[in-house]
Amino acid sequence: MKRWWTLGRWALKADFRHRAQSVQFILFTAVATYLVYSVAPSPSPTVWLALLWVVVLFSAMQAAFRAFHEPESLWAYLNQLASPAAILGVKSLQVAVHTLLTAAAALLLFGLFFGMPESAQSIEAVLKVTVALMLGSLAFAATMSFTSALASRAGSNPTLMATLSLPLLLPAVLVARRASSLAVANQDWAELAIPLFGEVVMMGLPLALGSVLMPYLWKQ
Amino acid sequence: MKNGFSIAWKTAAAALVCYSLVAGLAAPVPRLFILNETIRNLYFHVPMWFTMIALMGVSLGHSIGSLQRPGQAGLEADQKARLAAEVSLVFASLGLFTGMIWARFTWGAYWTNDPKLNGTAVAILIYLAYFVLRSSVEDPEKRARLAGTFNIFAFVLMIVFIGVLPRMTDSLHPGNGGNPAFGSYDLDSGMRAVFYPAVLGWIGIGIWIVELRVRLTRLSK
Repeated sequence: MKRWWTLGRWALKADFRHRAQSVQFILFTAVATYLVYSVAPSPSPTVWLALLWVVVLFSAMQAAFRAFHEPESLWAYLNQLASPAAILGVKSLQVAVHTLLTAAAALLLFGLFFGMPESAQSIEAVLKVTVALMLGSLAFAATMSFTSALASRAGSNPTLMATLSLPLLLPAVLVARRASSLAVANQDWAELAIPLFGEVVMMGLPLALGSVLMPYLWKQ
Repeated sequence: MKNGFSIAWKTAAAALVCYSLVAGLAAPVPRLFILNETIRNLYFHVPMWFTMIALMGVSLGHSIGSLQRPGQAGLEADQKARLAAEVSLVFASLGLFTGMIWARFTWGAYWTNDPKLNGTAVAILIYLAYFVLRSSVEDPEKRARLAGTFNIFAFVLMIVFIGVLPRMTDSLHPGNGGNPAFGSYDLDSGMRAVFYPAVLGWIGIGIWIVELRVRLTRLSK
């Protein structure tokens, strides 16, 4: 636990030192949202959701790639400090925080530029959309943390990371789409429960698998 | 003894496939609205998916072996995992092709936004990504390790996707979203007597092809 804490503190400090890079994700989200707004200023609720997920997905991918994009010397130092599973755990947490921030920024910007869809104007509906979006983003972060670790071992190639991640993310995308569609339609919490649980499963499964496989992946 | 068993299962697999090809085209089938004679595609299309999954399972088993065994044994297991994945992709393509032709005549389109079709697309894309990963690493031991971990990670997520998620949503496929499953079709016919031998036979043929490819790769070295 002490090692987790040390690693977490180190990641937080590193993020603070390179805060310009952290702000980049938000900026990327803002630019992507504005670009989307310029192309389709008044989308239907389905298109609104699809665009939101596309922006969140690619922002999350940036965050995940950066988390494992470190020099070899630093990895050598971290390997002495903590186990591979702990490194993955802390890095996943770091990716999750960045992804949640970018998802929140994307939702805010979409609300600002496009407005919320007509059926999702009430506070309760916005809350449902937010929960579905956050859980979906966490599912993305969990899968992409592992693929980012894999890509970093294979030579830190961003194209490789996208190639490995996108097919694996499709299940999470489909579950998240279902949850968020119901949320946008302001369905009851009881209706939303199963897809939201699906999002939690799509977050927990990659994390559990990743922590089992990480020692093999991280072996020097 | 081992040689005798090997000949027996290969002969059985070939015989089952021959039987399913003949019976699949000639045996009587239920007369169902829209499906008509295309119901026979069950004997040729579905076994491809069963074989694909079985061979991906074989590939997964070898990947686990490659991670557990160090040195040359691990590299050999990794080679077998690659070859099984390659052959499984061939069966995936055959399943996709036979399914698309069938869909054109029954659903009116080659491709629909169906959870099972999405699952197929994911399975194929995952294994294409597996080959991209392999080709991007030069060192054989590192390649075996990275490809092995990706194979295990991807296989589990894929099984959740193609096995669990389609049951949570509506699908045009029989057995999902209120459509009758295979069991409803064969109540008045011997479809089951053709379908199961076809599945077993094609899985056997798939494993045989992998075995031949392993031997060929060994010889070419």
